[in-house]
Amino acid sequence: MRGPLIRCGWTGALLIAATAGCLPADAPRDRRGPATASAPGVDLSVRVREFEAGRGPAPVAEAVRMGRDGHPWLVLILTGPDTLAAMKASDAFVEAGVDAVPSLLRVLDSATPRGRNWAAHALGRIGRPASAALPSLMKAETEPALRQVALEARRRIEGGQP
Amino acid sequence: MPMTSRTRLVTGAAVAAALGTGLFALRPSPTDAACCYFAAQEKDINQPGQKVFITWDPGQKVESWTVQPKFEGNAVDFGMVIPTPSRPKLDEMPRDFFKDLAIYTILMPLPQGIWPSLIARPMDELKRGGPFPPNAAGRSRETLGEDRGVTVLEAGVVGSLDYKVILAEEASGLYKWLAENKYAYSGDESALQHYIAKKWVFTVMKIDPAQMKKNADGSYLGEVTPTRFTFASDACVYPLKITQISVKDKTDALFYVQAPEQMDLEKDFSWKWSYRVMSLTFLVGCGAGSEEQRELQERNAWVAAKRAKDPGYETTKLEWAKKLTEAELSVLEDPLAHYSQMGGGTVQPGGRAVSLEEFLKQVWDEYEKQAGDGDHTYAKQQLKQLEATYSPSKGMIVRTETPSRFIGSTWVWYPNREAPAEEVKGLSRLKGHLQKGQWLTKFRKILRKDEMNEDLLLVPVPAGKEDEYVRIMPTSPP
Repeated sequence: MRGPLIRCGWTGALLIAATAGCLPADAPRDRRGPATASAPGVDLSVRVREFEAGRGPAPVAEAVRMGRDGHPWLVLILTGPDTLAAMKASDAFVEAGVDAVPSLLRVLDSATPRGRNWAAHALGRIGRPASAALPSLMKAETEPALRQVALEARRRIEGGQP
Repeated sequence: MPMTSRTRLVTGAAVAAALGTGLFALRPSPTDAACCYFAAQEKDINQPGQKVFITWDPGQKVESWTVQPKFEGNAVDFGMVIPTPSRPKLDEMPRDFFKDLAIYTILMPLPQGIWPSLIARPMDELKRGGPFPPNAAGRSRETLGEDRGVTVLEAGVVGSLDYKVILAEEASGLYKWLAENKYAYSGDESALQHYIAKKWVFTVMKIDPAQMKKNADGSYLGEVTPTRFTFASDACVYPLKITQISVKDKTDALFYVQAPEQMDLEKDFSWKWSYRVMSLTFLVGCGAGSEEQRELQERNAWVAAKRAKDPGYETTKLEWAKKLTEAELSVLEDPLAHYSQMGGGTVQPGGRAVSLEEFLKQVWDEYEKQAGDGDHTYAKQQLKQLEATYSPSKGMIVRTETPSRFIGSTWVWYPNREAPAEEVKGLSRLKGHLQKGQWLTKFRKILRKDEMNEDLLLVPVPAGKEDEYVRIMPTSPP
């Protein structure tokens, strides 16, 4: 019973990632056609599934090694139920700097139940280069659950202090 | 069973919202006489207590009282007489004014330290005919009662109350005038004379019962629109004497005082006798200094000696006090966003609110530095617990550079105070009434009839001796 439910969750996160315009070329979606087992994205997808099932660590480092192509996978982890993994994905996005802003903004502006807080946090730590996120952060400040983290992020960006 | 601080908080808020202004109420029974009052011919009106919002401008020597009479009885016609040191200006206030003040001044929970070190393995607030012109709705100066030594300076309508501002030369004339004008009055004349001798002005009001809720038995129950009386005064005073006659044994009086300085009652009525003992007892539990311990002993001894002489003595209880800053007033601008932490203005010095995410990250980073490789399952579970316990919906996390002596931790949790969203939203009605830079001090006094021989004088707390009180204490006042 757990498999299909989990798949629904990841499908939603994948949609966010895809809409963010950063889905890797070899992402595991049927319309992209068959992928090869050796492709990094395929391997990462399996690793994500293993992590999701509690059978392996969050493949954050692997996603980081893929550069921008790894961002969809980081989004998956960022929006997942594992707090520590989400924190690590957030750290990875901060390392990516301004390149991560579109993906993080997509998450922040989404309706996903998890991860928007970590996206806001990462945007704040990126600092001034994430200034494009200011309108979204100001909007997030009106939500009680996001208010403090969004306020903190906005102050960091406006103050230029990562 | 003694009330805990938490119990008092809840009770205080509920009573504050429900209290009526018995100040000017009269129950026309043979034992009750009145000088400021609700009068009801052959009717019975209850006087549950009194509440007042006082503002005091010591520079301009202008004071205001906002009162909201509440009554219950079979009267078809009500009246009340309110003495003021000078001719008042009357204004209608928002109907829920006192309810809003009660909600606004709910104490917040005490902050708690967070010691978030993760481990890899489990361990176990006009003188007569003076500067205020008649109200726009008012007619100036009638002489209808001059043959009784009573001069009507002004008459008009404020809210749904008809009022007359009058001068009286002698109590007997005013007494007769009240009766002739159907302000039923069953008290003696002494209290009236008390204010006539001081050359105070009386405002006489009638209430239209049509605005009241009617009980099944035909009696009326309800509160009238709060009314503000603004007048010139040499001192910040409250007319206690006039209430004396309408009080059987004792009355519960609730005061909200807004002034540039924190305000208190004089001498034995000071709220310091109870508040300082309560707060110092709390401090003792947190390492109070010798000076603080000495003050506590002296205050406890004073209260004990006072009670030995007067067993019925009850201290005045401070219920909320804060100098209003932008943070506190932000609650009125956006109540839902700022209510729970009073705009965040009460964070300890050097404290900085941080997000849950920042907190979790710093805690984990600290853990990682020490833990090294290995199984982090237990630490991850702890992290998850921290995330659930310190959710932004429940409170605010504050980071301090140096641990306070009360908390002992650099991480401090400020739990939210809570009230129904609809009630909180209404706080925007207080905009304009609460002023930046003013102290708002809320205190309550159970007044015995024999303690009401003189009017109350409110005095400023000496500079540097002010007490903020916005959070529940785990100790009780004497």
